[in-house]
Amino acid sequence: MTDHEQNEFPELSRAITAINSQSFTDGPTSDLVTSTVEALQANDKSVASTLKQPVNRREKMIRLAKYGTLGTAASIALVVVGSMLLSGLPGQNAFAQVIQNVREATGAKYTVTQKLGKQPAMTSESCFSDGIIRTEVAGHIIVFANAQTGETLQLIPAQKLAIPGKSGEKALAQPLSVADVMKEMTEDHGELIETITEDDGTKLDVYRVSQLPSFMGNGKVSGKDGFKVWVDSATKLPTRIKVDMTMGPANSVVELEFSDFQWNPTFPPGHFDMTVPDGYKVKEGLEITPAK
Amino acid sequence: MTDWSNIVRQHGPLVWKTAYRLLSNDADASDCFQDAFVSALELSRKEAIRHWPATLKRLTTARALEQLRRRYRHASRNEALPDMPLVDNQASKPSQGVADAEIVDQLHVALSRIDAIQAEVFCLSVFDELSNREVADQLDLKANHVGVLLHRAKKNLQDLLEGQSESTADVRSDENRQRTVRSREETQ
Repeated sequence: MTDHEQNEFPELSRAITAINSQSFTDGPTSDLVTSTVEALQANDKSVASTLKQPVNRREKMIRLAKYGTLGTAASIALVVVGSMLLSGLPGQNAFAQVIQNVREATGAKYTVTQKLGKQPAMTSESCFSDGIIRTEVAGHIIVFANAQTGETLQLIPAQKLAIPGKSGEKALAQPLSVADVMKEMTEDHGELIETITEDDGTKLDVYRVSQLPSFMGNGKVSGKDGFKVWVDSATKLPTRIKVDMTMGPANSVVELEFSDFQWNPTFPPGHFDMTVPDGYKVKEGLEITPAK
Repeated sequence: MTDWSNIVRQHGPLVWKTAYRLLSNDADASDCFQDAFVSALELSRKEAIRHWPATLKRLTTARALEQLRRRYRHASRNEALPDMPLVDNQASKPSQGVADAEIVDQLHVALSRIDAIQAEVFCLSVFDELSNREVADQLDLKANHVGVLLHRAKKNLQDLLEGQSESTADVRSDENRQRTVRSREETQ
C-alpha cells in the first residue's frame, strides 16, 4: 500500500502487514498432494457427462484420501499379525499360540485412530471377516473392500449415496489377508521388550517391530513408540497396535493406533453385505489406487 | 490429457500458501487445496488454461473466501469476533504476536462480510500482487473497474476493522471494569 493509503486505511494497512508476516505450516503434505493427484487423474479419465456436483467431487476426493489411509491401516493390522506369524526372534514360543489363534480367528473389530502431521486425528471403526474389510468413519461414510475380488463400496448414509468401485490391480496386490501378509513379511523383525500389567490386572506382552513391510513404500518407523504391539498374555491375541512412521519425500509424520480389539466377535447379519441398500442412489465409483 | 501430477506438484505450494494465508489452519487449507484443484479440473474441461499460477491463485482465493463466509456465516456484525484472543490491558504490554493474530482474525471476518467480488479483487491484488490488468483478465473485468472495486474493498474493510476495533475495545473495557470490581471486592 502507498503511504497515502496507509494513512487513509491504517487498520487495514496493519492487518495486511500482519497477515503477510504470519508463519505458515509447511505444506501441502505429500499425502495431500498424492490423494489430490490420484483423484484428479481418476476424474480426468471419466467423460464430462459423468462429473458430479462440485461438493460431491470434493467429498469423493476427501474420501479417497481417507480410504487410502484406511486401507493402509487395515493392512497394517493384518501385517502386524503376519509379522508375528513369521517372527523367529525372542518371543516366538509365546507367539505360537497367538499364531494359532489368529489363524483360527473368524474376524476382528477394532478402532483406528490416524493422525497425519498436524491434522486433527481421525477415528474410524474397522472390522474384517471372510476377506471383507468394513470401515466406518464417525457415521459419515462406510467403506467396504473385498480383498479377493477387489470390489469396493462406499456408502454415505446422510446423502443416501452409494459408490461402488473396483480396486486397481496394484491395490489388490496389497496384502489384505493374513496369507498374503505372510509372504510379505519374511524379513520383518519383532522382539518382546516388556510385559506390563494394566489397571484391571490384565497382563500384556509388548513387542517392538523394527521395520515396515515393503508395500508401505518409503515409510519408515519413527517417533518415540515406533511400531509396537501389545498382546494379551492370557488370550495371546493383539489388544493394541501403535505405529509412528514417516512417509513420502517430505517425511510426513503419520501416527496410527489400533485399539479396542475384539477377536472373533459376532457380527450382525448383513454387516459385510456389499449390496447397495434400498433407497440409495448409485454413483459411478473410482478406481482405488494403493496408498503411497 | 492434463498432467495433473506435474501441475499439483509444481503449483501445490503456491495453492497451499494462498489457502493458508486466508484460512490459517491446516484442515481448512487442505479442503481448500483440493477444492481449488477440482475447480481447475472443471475449468480445464471448458478452456485451455494458459497461465496456471494466476488461475490457481484466483481459484484458491475464491474457494478460501467461500470457506471464510461459511465459517463466519452466523456471526453478526456487532458480535465480538469468534476465537479472538482478548488482550489483557492490565498486562505490561500485549505481545505483538497476539496483536497480529487478533487483527488477522479481524481481517478474515471482514473479508467474509464484504461483497464477494470486492474481496476477491482485494486478495488477488494485495496478497497475490497481481496487477489490475492481471486481475481483470482473471475475473473477466475491465482494468479500471478493478481499480474501483479495489478501492471500495479497502474502504469497506477499513470501516469494518475500525468498527470491530471499537467493538473489541468495548468488550475489553467491560472485562476490565469487571476485573477492577472483582479486584476491589477481593481486596475488601
